Amino acid sequence: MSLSPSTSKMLSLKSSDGKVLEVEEHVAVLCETIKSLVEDGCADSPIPLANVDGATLGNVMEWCKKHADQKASADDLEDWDAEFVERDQGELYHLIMAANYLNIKGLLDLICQKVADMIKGKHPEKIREIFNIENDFTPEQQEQIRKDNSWAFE
Amino acid sequence: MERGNQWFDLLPKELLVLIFQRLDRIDVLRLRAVCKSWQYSILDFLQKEKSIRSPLKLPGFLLSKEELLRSPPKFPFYHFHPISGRYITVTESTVYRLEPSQKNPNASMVVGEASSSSSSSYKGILVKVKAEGPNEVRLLPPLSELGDIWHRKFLKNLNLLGLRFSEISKVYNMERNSLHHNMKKLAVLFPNPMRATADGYAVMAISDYGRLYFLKSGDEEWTAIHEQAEQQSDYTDVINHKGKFYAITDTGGAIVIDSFRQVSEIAHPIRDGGVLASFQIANPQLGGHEMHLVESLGDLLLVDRHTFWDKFKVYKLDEEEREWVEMRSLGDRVVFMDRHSSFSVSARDLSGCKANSIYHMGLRVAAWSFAHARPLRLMPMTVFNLEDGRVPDKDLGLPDEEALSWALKAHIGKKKKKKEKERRRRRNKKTRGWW
Repeated sequence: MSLSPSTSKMLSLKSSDGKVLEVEEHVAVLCETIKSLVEDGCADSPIPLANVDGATLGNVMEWCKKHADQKASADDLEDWDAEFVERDQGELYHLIMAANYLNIKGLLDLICQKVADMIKGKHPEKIREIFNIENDFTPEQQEQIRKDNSWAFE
Repeated sequence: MERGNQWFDLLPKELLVLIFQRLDRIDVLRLRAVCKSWQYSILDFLQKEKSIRSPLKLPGFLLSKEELLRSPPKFPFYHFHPISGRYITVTESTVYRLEPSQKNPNASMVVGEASSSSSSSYKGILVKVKAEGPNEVRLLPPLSELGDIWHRKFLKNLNLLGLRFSEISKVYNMERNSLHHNMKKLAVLFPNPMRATADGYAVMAISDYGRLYFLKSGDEEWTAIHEQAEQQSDYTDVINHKGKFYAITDTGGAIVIDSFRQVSEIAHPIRDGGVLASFQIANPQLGGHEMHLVESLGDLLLVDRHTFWDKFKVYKLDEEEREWVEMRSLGDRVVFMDRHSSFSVSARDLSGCKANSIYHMGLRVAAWSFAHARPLRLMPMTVFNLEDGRVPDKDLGLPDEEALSWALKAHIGKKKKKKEKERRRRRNKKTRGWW
């Protein structure tokens, strides 16, 4: 089966909120999950993606389209990726979940690295602020954490 | 996106792990304080993951001293340490600048017995952190060679949450000290840093004969960069600069090598090679020039050290002209160097550090074994100021002398286990008596 752009047919993908997206097959098969459906011949009707909303699916396919482009150089892709991940943490969260569900290793690596870079060197309090995470520790647990984080020396 | 805002703490554990794998141990330990679900995931992660980035095992050969003295070995790298098997083990550590966190300016950061008198002007200190067990990191002085020559001073009441960690440099150390093997220097490159994981790396290393070798993960054997016949001068240093390897010879000629092993010349030599130079390099106890590379503010610097007088000159690479241009001053910068690593920091960010200086440790040989043609003991830390030459030892003027010279092992949140003590005692016993 040839997946080259010239012979690629269109696939329709249906998001969790009912939006249908038409995507070229050679782009969509960057998602391992979709690829195995295509290979099994189960990709005729709109493919329902119950865990991905329309906006996120659009973002994911934008990434796949860029990365399916044979002409893009490695440097070009790197710059493009760096721009692609400049998003708020809500969008990043949805992208991680979608990349995991659709099994796109490259995208998953990219977003995880972005989140890691956001965390790196920051104080836990600052991290809660960035990712809007609630501090759910009791005062007693808080004190224990303080102890857990002190250095004991020989 | 109001909904999404509450969701990051609900990220499934297997996805959190993918993020934790990309962080240093210090960051991971601190993240336990974020929320319950992260704390739980991290405890689990640390239990399962033996080491976040496992040591690199590089091909080498185990050799007895008698074998070495009989005939020079044919293979590039060998060692004398039976415990290591046939590999040369390389571990990663990170040099950080530690500062009291801004939120908590009075955070306890007491160096030594008494609090530093000028705590208001307290800036930062440098430490090297190496992950060991799941809940264990080892704190080391930023420059190091032999474990037993440091004074032991203590940092008291240090709390991870009260400190700010800024990464200065990654350091790759050969396990065991340099007297146990013949790898003079190495540099490690993770070719695609955006997607850095432990499995894809390239290594460049220099043997004691000044030859340069390349290895990428999965290779069983080292590849020499030059044919023996065509190599005219010896390599003395190699570093990772802007995602490529830069290597320098004893005459100052430099090449750049990418992770696909494409080699190109990047700078012309600054002095003639010839018989005298190679004689001096082969006999460093008699004095000669030793070239070191260091990165400073995105520039590549060449530190030219006269081994006998212990004087330094610094040059900056002009990539367009392919030239080393001498720098009369480093300005505010301070260069740190030992046999494994080099990095530079702004003096403004460090307590008691003298600007425009080179702090180096163990570059000089304090005792030489003629029988083994190898250094026996290396010099402790010394400072060279580019303006007025050597700084007398008394003038180091550091609260940092303490900070720079303590070596201790810190356990986070746990009392020391007896077993570990036992293991270390055994290890020390075994290590002793090799030379």
